[in-house]
Amino acid sequence: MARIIPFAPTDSLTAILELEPPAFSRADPFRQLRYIADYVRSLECRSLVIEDHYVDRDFIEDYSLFYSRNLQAYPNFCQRVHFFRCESDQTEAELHRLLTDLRKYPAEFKERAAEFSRDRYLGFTVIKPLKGSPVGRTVLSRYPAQPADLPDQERHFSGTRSYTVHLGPVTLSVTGLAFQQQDVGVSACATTALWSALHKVRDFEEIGAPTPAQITTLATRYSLPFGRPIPSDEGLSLDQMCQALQALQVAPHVLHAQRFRTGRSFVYSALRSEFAPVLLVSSETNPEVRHAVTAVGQRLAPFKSPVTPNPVDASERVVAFYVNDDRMGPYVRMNLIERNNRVVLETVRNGNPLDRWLLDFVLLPLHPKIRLPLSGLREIAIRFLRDLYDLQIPLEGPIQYEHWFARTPTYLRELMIDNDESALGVMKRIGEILKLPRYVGIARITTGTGKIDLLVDSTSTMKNLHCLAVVAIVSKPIDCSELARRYRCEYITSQGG
Amino acid sequence: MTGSKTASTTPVTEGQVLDRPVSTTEKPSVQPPTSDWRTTADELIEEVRRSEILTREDLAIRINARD
Repeated sequence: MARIIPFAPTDSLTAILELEPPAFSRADPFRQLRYIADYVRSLECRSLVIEDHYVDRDFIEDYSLFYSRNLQAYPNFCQRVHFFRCESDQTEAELHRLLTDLRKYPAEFKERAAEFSRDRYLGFTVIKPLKGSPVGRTVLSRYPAQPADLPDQERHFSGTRSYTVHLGPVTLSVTGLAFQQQDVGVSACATTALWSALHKVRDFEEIGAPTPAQITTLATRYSLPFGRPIPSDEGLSLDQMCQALQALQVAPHVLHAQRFRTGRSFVYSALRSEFAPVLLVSSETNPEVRHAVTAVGQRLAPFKSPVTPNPVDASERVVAFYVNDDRMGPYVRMNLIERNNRVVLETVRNGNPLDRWLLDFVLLPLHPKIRLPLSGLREIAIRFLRDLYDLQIPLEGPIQYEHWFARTPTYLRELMIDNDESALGVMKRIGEILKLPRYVGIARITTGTGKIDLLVDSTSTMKNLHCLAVVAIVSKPIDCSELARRYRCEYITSQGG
Repeated sequence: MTGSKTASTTPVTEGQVLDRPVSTTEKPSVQPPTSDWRTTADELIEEVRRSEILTREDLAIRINARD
């Protein structure tokens, strides 16, 4: 049973859903709901479809483990609110048209539903029957790639994925990354950040879909340094977060990220790799307060040619990261600031700075076959560049370097899309002579005349590194064959070398 | 960036690229980096190696920011 209602600029979701705060609330329980309302409004939301009885997989698990045992009987179902970028009468007409299409043109129904989703659908939020923490699983469409305030900048939401949503017989889709508010019953911020990050892992890998309750249970199976796990008002340790990932067959890769250039590069490269890294941060004003958020995207400034001939780290383009912050909402902007060689992340709400956090660690949930550390790949990129200089290979400036992991088909597709016809020959040659792993490590040097990639086997380690190939896609001939010999790997070039 | 340059209403298209092409209008230059870049590179490598070393205290940090 669903109802369609208009959503005017002054409407409040709290009022529409008739939510009341609980007694003695320590914090504003509707902050996240207000954020969501403001967010969808910024994406021109005009109408809502509300399902009043929606069984949510995550909440039913929380209910089973925790809320079913309360004295007060909570409902075991939720509400689900869908957001549309058209007036309510148009939403109704469009949904009705889709139902007619389903009957008359079943073969074209999927395509028409996809078109409607792309043009009109902004995602959904699940409203749990918990007065103090109503916002459950929420997937919203991302901000546009081009910011309205600074159109020369770019937003890249590589930590997101596509979700399929069923509204009655109509199948809709939205691209985003799941968010929810911490309930401090079965989950605090650490659990929620992992839950979000694991949603992205499931985009590529066949792991289960752990609920917050399951993550908290797995995290606290072997160690309880802070007392009882549920209610989870004590939070988790970094060790426990790793334990939860390991139990889910996902490799926890933790890196110190205190130094500015290195920390910035780790987050940039993790997002470039299409991971959704968990950022562990501490309050700038009170270092005892530690928080976990999930990075889903980044905002990049245009490339600027350096004044010196020195190469530029591609991560220097990062202006801000977008994070799922369970204390606020999805895609919260955190401006990147350098202070005392630390990464400072400044939370922004409605264009105004709110609070500042110091980046301490980056936690990457990785496929276990990626044995090479992201840090090692950065070292390889820097040393690769140094070797190119040492061999006096002429590199036309400006020069950028970066590193990331890619699934092999993704890397090959990128080569095809990003380059001219010559890349086809390179791709064919790669297919002919290389044995490629599921994930390939890439150290890329971008010059004025093309790209030089060093491909490394991500299943190897820094101690016994296996280089696969030096791949040069360049418009002017250069010879990197000596370098390939040095690395004992293949040399593949678009210049027919 | 692979699969990432997206508009809010456009699904992710794999293979789209992150790096903005280097402007072809800029004057080409083949110059070695300055000597201080090598020092910087050494520092960066040292930072990277240090980033991998985790202690028991690191793993014990408690993440408990309240809503």
